[in-house]
Amino acid sequence: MLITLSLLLGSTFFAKAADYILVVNKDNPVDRLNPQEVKDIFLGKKIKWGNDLPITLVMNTNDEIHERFTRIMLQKSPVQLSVYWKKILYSGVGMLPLAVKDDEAAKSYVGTHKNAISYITEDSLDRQVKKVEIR
Amino acid sequence: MNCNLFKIFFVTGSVRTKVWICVLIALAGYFVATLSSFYSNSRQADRLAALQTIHFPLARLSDETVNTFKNQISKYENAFLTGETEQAIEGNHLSTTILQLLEQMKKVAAQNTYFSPEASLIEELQSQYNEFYRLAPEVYLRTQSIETSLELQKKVQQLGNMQTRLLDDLLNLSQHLAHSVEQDIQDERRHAQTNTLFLGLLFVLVLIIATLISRCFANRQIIEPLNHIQEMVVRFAQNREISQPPQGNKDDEINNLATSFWGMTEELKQTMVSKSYVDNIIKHMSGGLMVLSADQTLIKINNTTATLLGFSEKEMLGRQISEFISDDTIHLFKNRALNVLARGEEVINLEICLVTLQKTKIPALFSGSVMRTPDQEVEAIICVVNDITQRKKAEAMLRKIEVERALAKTASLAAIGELTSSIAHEMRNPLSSIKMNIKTIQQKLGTEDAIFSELTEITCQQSMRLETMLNDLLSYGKPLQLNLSQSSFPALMQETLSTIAQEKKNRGVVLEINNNLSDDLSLLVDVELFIRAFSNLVLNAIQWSPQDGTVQITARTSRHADQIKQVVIQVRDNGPGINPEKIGRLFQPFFTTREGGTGLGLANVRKIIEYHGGTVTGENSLAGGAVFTIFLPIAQPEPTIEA
Repeated sequence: MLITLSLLLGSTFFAKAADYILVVNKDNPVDRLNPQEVKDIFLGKKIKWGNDLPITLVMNTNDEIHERFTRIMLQKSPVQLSVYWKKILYSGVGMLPLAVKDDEAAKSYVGTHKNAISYITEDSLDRQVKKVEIR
Repeated sequence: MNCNLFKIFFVTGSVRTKVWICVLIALAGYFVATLSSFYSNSRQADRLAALQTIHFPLARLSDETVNTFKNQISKYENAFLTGETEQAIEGNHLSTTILQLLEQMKKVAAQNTYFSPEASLIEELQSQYNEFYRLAPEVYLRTQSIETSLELQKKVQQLGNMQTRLLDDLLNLSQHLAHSVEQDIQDERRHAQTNTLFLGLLFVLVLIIATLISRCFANRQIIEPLNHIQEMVVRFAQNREISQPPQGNKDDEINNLATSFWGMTEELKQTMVSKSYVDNIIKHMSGGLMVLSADQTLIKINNTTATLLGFSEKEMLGRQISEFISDDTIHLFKNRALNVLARGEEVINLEICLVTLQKTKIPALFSGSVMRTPDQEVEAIICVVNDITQRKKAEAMLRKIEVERALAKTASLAAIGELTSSIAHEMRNPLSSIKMNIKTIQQKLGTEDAIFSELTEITCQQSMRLETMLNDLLSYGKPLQLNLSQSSFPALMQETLSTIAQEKKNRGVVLEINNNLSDDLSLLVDVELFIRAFSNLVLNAIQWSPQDGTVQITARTSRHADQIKQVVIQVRDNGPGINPEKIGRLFQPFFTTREGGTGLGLANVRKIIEYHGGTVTGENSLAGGAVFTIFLPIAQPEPTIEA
């Protein structure tokens, strides 16, 4: 409930903070994704990697980065994204993606889960995860 | 078509029965057609009823279920997305409706075994929905912790899957049912089309069969017998010979008609004569036949006429009958024949002369009558002419013979008269001397000897009688010379009475004289001769009268037909009358009915009266006795004297 509330609040807030980057597990062979692929993955439309492994979505609900990512990458507000995923859940097609509250949590989950993908602030990138270029 | 195949339909009976059978055949066909159309219609009605009570309600119910379920999941979705528990509760409420709808569908589907797959499907849906319904309310009423509760998320996903499946199933069912209804309607349309085609063909077939059967039946039962009658009529018209129709049912009017016609022809044969027969009669008639039209032109003649006149039949027809009548009798013919016929009367045996081709005349008897149409218009004039040339010749011959005979008789009578006159004359002188000598002897003998006196008396009377006879003879044979003078009936009567006084006294007869003549009427007569004639009649009457009888003498005037005034004098006795057989010969000379009569009395009377220009008749009175009547003209013509 708190997360939802924070998402709603965040949606009206435009922060001029550092940009986001996509990160995957170091073992993941993917280096680069185009914007459409990114969008498909985070809207649950592309659910498997090229090597046929399931994609594990990790939503970084860090207000600033989440808002930027959803609005720029997914052309949705954070609330719209939330409803979008609830509808998917309601219709029984899929489960809600895993939500983490900051970059650290995201990095730690992606670093330990081979098929995970998430987004973090560019500044917080470290050796736990591998950056994927968006081109 | 061979109608023998339909011998099964051979029926003897009235035309009404036969027509009824024709109608029944048609009705049977109609019945078959109606029955089959009824059957197919009822089948269709059954199917349509199923469509109305099962297919359509099922489709409608399933559609409603889908809609309600959509409504429910939409409400649950709202509740899930917004966390509004009211929406979840509203959604919960719809569950009852959906369960009821499913139950209804189950019931409807159970009505027809055809829907058993659907029924089981519905049952399955019911159980699915029951599961969903059991899970849904508790999940959707508390979704506030959805992000954090993975368990809840799983439940929601499970429900989502469940409802998606349910919705899919329900939609499928609904589509299936809607499709089924559409399919059924299309089937019915196809059925109806097939039915229409089938019934149309059936009707045409039935029509053809019923028509053929009826036609064959009618041909056999009605047309054939009628044709037979027609043949009979034609045969009768051609040669008057037809055979008797077969004996049939007495109710069969057509057979009866044939029998009646046959009977009629049989009767006709007996009563009717053919035209040729009539022509033959006319041809062989001995008399000449001429048939004239109303304007008197010849329209038919027979051989005799043509032969008689020397013309051929062709030459005569179309010409006026007057062209064949000789000029000297044409006037008579027009007056006495054509005019009479024109008045519509008959002409019988008119003597005319015909003119032949060679311009010779043929005497003929013409008879004619008018033949009229039933409405009294002149149709023709039937004339018969008989050649009387031979008869005319015979008649002329007979007349000649008669004349000759009469001449001979007159000559002989004259000779006899002359002879008797001379004999009488020669006998008178000896008789006179006998009479005188007897008288002398009578005077000499006186009445001394009664016997001689009687003998002489008898001799004297007989000689006097002989003298009278001789006088009569002489006077009859002699032509008379009238010595006329004026006299009156009473004077003449007086003289007559003195003449007959003796005889009257002897017979004791009473004379009853009725003089109805005026006193100044004078009669111009030869008194002596008239008295002789008149006294002869009176004497005759006295002699024929019974003893003490009465003789009536009546005198009167009368008007004769040509208006000459004449005196009628009648002498009537009450004797035995005249023998009717001899009445015609009364006045003939030498005819007498009285013993000792000369037969010259009445002959002389007639001679004398006729010399006076009168006549005398004798007849029997109705009251008995004889009546002699003298008719004497008053304005007497100059007496003619004949040799």
